Amino acid sequence: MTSSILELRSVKKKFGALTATDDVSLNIQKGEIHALIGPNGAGKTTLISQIFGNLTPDSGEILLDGKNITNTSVSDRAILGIGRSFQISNVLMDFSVLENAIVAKISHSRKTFRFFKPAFNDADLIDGGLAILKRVGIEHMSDRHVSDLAHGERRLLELALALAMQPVLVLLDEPMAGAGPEDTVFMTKVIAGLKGDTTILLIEHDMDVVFQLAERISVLVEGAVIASGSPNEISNNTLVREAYLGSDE
Amino acid sequence: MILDLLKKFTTLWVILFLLALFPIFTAAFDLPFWNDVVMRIMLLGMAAMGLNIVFGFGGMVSFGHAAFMGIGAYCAGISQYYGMDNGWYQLLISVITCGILGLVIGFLALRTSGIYFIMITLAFAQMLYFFFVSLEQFGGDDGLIMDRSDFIFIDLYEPLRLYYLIFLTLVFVSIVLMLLIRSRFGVILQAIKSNENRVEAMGLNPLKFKITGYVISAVICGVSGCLFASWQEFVSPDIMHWTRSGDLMIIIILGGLTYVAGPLVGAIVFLLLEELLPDLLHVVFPSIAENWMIIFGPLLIAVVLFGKGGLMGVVGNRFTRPAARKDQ
Amino acid sequence: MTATLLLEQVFNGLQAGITLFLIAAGLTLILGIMDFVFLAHGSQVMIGAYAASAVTIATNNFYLGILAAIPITFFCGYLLEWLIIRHLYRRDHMDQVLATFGLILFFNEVIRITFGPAALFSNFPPSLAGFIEILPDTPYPVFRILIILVGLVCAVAIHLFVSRTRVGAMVRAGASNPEMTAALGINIKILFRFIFAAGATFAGLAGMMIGPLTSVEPGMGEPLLILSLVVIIIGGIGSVRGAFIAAIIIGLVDTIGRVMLPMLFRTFMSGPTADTAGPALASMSVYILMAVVLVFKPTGLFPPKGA
Repeated sequence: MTSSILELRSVKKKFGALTATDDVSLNIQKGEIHALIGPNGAGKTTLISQIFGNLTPDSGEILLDGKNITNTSVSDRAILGIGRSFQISNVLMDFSVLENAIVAKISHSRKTFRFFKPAFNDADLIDGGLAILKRVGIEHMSDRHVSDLAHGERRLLELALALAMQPVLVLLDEPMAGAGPEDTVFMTKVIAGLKGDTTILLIEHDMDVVFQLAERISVLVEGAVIASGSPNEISNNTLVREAYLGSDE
Repeated sequence: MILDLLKKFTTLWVILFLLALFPIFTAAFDLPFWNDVVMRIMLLGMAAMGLNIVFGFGGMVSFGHAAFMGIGAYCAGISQYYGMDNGWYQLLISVITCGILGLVIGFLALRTSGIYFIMITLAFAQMLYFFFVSLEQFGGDDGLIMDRSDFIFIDLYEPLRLYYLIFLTLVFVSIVLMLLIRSRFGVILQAIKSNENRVEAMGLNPLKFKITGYVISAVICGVSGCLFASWQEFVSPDIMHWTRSGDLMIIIILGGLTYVAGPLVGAIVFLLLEELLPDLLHVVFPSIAENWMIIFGPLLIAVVLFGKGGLMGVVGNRFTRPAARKDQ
Repeated sequence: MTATLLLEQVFNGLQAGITLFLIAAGLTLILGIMDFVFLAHGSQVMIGAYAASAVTIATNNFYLGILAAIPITFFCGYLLEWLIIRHLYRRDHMDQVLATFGLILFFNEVIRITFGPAALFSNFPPSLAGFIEILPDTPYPVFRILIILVGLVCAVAIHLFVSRTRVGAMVRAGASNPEMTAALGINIKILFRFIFAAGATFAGLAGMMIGPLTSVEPGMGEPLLILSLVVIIIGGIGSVRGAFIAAIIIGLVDTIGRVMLPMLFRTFMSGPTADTAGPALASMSVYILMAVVLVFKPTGLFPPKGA
């Protein structure tokens, strides 16, 4: 086995009578782009939330780089190196683009309990913020207010914020949802450019994007992983075709 | 840095400047009564500025901050009762007591959110209110009559000494707030208000920042209360009645909750209305002159329904922005 | 303390608890379903008390007073929702706190102007002024028994309505998940207005019944409002069952504390000091109870299922 960055061991989660995550075991290799696909309501976001710590599994274990993080808080997981973009874009709406990046920069510096020096005209923080924006190619919109941004632009900003912590693992929950075709192409390029820098677990409905980006794919149906493998293996898997690809298209 | 602050918080500096000169005005027109009104404005404005750290900048609707004013006032009153007249010590005791209480209450209350948070802060305030009602030794319900505290070098019974003591404290609190709001800490606090999930995803524990903000705001309210005791020469549980917590929130909303100067503007408007509405009503409807609240209540509803951003929002730029932004 | 006195205090506590429940029942639904912080609910109590007292004094008939006051409070609630409240549902909590705080000020002044600042006194009819022996040698006022009975009947009616009827099912769905109610295509506007007016009526009824026992004066609703908020928080926002249990607990703790604590204190401090400290500490105990509950169960004892 090559080194795995994230390992799930029989993770289970129930909401009342509904089994949202059914005994999921999963291995994400260091440096790969791993796609998690499945029909609506398969429990993809629930699974991601457990990896990120917004939800705690009923049973099972989650290991990040060999360290058990099953009961670690969201903020501590972020410090350990997990970044996330949410399904509904999740940025600081009352701030400008650069200010969003500066807040991320402050968090990353860990020097947060400073009460006197103004943050938004600190030259170092501005440089750091611009560098964060540059990573996804949006430094030109640094002065714009987030409430004026288009949907696709917000998704890019969110990706930039997730990357600002220099995570070892990034969870992307439908980064293309609601974006126009041009934005999708741009976003795909940005994500492809991250290959090698970090590990990415991607939830996405757009199959073209998935097959373009992913090195490995896992298929989640009704809370359970029914197949895991290379894009080729997945597209030829009869089980997957029946359960998912056939019925959805 | 001072020059930087001068440029960025113009409204606040203009108000402070006018407050500094106000006694000259009252002396010229022989209106000493208005010095008293303005001292009250400054004290309530100061407390509201403190509350606004959590309320406006941190997005936490605390319905119990008058309790910290009350604690500050009782720190002065009880110290004096036991013969310790030194105002500086009383201030120090107020700061320490409110800091510790703020930490304990904040730690417990911030486990909840939404309506539960509003109500638990109210509950703690009521608890303290009834605690002081029960303290028969310090007057209970009837309160404790006291002298103005003894601030060494400053005899508060000399004309205007109390006025300028309050004024300088207000200036100090204003400067602290202007720095705080634009600092890394202040920026993160506003980020938490904007989107707590995102801040958490950035690896920060929002609770730590909220509690810290809560403690700072409690201390400022305590300082205001400590001076309030000297101004009123009397302390009673009334200072921490739950309606005063409501008043503080009204003051903030009236002025504009995303501005450092907002609460001060709000306090000016609120207390001027309180002074002037009865006079105005006396001219128009003499029979209900005492019932000025019948105008004030609906006015409040109208401000909520139609006046987003408060007076600062109407007078200043048309968009409310975090105070940390460059162009406030 | 004699058993007789204790029993009497338990009944007083029940009566206070039942009164609190009548106020809290509607308010918990307003907070839970509409996510609306409504502080002027105490004014509904005051309106009910004034309406009943005024009519009673004018006609010299207590029953007529109650009969007239019920539609008046319903109409007040209905009108208030239509005029102001419905514009505030989508606002954040701080806006709601302020606007309804403004309503309190307004209602208090209206009452003060109309009826004057002094308290209004109305007597209940002689037929209700007697005593009944709840145990041998333990007489208890008939009027208070009546309050307990009326309150229990209302509690049962509210319970049956919420748990057995179709509209009640919508209400329950709304309490645990407001979005879902909207998704079901239920006419939310009408449902909200109805709950609001019904809540106002029950609060008003509480005011009508305690009117002859306490002083009917401007601002009389606020202490009751704060206490019923405590009840709602302890019971779990949106839970009628929780409100009932919490109301009884609070009623008993507050009433018995007022009597017992001074007695307890007298054993180790002087009489007058104990007499003033006791009741205040009894009031405090209610809030301590609430804080303790929230620290251990941040959403109250009986949060509605699914919340």
